[in-house]
Amino acid sequence: MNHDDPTLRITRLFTDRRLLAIPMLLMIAIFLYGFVRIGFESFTPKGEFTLDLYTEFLSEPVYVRVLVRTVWVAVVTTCLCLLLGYPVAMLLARSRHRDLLLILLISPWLVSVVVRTFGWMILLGNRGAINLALKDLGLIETPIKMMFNATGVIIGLVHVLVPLMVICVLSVLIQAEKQLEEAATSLGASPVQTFARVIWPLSLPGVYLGASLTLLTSTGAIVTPLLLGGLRDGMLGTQIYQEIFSMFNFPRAAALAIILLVISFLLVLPLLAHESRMRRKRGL
Amino acid sequence: MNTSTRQLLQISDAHKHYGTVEAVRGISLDVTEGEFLTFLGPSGCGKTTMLRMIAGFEALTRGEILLDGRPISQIEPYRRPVGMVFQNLALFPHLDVFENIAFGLRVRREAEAHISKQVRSALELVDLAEYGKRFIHQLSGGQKQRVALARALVLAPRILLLDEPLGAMDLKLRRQLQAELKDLQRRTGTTFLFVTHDQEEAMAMSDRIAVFRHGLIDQVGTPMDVYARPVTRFVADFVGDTNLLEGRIVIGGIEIADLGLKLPAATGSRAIGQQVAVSIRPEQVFLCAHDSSRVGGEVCAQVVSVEYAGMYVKLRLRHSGTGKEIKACFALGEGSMAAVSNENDLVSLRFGAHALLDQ
Repeated sequence: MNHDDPTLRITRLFTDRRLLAIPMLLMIAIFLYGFVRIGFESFTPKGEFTLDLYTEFLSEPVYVRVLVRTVWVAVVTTCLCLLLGYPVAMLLARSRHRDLLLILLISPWLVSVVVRTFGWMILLGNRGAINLALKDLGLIETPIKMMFNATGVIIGLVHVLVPLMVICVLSVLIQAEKQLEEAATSLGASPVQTFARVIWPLSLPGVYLGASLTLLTSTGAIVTPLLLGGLRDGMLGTQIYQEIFSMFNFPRAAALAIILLVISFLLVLPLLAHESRMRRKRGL
Repeated sequence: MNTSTRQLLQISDAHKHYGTVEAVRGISLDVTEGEFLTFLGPSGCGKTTMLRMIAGFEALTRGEILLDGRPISQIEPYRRPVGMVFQNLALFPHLDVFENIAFGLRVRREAEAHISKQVRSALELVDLAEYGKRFIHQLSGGQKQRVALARALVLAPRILLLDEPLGAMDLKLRRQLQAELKDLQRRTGTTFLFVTHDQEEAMAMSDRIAVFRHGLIDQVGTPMDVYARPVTRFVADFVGDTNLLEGRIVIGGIEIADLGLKLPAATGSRAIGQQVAVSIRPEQVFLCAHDSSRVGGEVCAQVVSVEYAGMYVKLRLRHSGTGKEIKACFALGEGSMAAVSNENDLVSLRFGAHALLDQ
């Protein structure tokens, strides 16, 4: 083969895997630039370094409530996703029609979050389908408030995030050997004991991954809390949105973004730490 | 069978159908307490399905299995006093060796002191006393095998089912583990029900062998029985090497057309003139120096090939009259070398023990 063939040299140049470093570095650079810019902005609102924006935020009860509500909504959403998603994942792991069911599971993702959230508004409103039905059945006198509060946000977020949890858990469940369950049975473990002592511990990596993703997504959620939560009971995401689009207070929005980042990190950190400890133990 | 021994497991007319596929088609078998019984057969013969029905991982389509006289279908799989060692061993990767073995005891909610005593003696039983803290991925193949055995035996099961647990091991390790397994069975006195497709393995370890074919048992007997007195073509062919010959019942014996020879035989209730198959093991074919004045009971053959296999030598011969190929095998002992010939030599053959086979 002629090594000086110019076309070959060009082909080689473009198929060199090291080229992939270029888009990667570009991504990292842009991310870092944004991150540094926002951090800088939040610490120097008036040109000098100050922690004012942070101390101001943390000493204002309204903001602290937003913070607590954000964490609360994220944690409850994650727990509900796990509770609803885990049995579905188990069902899918055993089903012969897994592929079809998976498509059904993720089909809601084909519809934009905004549209889906409007759907929930039709269902959950004070004059929504659910309240009307309950009233017609004579089960309630006054409508149950399911919208423009944390309940609405959680319902909306769970709907968006359950498939994510299912997929994360499913990915580890289908890897686990079927024979481990049979082994547990042969050692006298009832179905409940088999779940508690074998299936659940083996699925923890998937659970942690799913929980991390749902926690991160729900702490940073904007659209769902904006539409179903209203502006009064805001979350960090909606607060940032307001600071930018209503108050035009970029430094404060930047400070909130940094706080959001730290909160998300703190929520996910214990999960990741425990997961990596487990991995090391099992020699993976 | 000795009436003083107890029937631990009684399988009667067991069937298992998957849709139109009949994996097990009517198996009846008694398992005696304390014996080492092997299910031997090629893959897809129903031996593993039968084992899984005893364990409770598959339900019987028809028939019944009695364990200590009690229908097994009435006992939840996890309540059956039956242990199992799986082909892939199925050790728990999230638990260390100690906890793997303790699993069954913890599930039974035994006291902690009792658990640790039991597990330690189980670890000693399989010679892994120092390995309690290791994780499964830190063990060799043979060690994993022993953990799987200890995990099942620590619960003192009435019967231990072993589903080709040596299948994935290399030959040398297999031979070593076979000996360990047999030794463990003797020491614990546990009834072992072992599944394998390796006839040598079955012969080496078992008290009795049940030879499976197409979801049925062709023959049950001691390794010697099955080898020396196979009852079907399949058993004769599958267990060990053999010469399968076509013959016909005549007065006082059988006439073997393939050899142009009449052999005396106990023909039992078979009718004169009936076609039968005859199995003659290679080591029951004897060589003599060729003598043109053929004595009765001898046939003339030509050596096709000679293959030395260490302790013994294998010959392929061709019958001078009918052209039928005959396998012969000799131990290399004193004097036998004299009889071993070179290719193309003419020799005389005599035949020892043979077995009449049902078709």
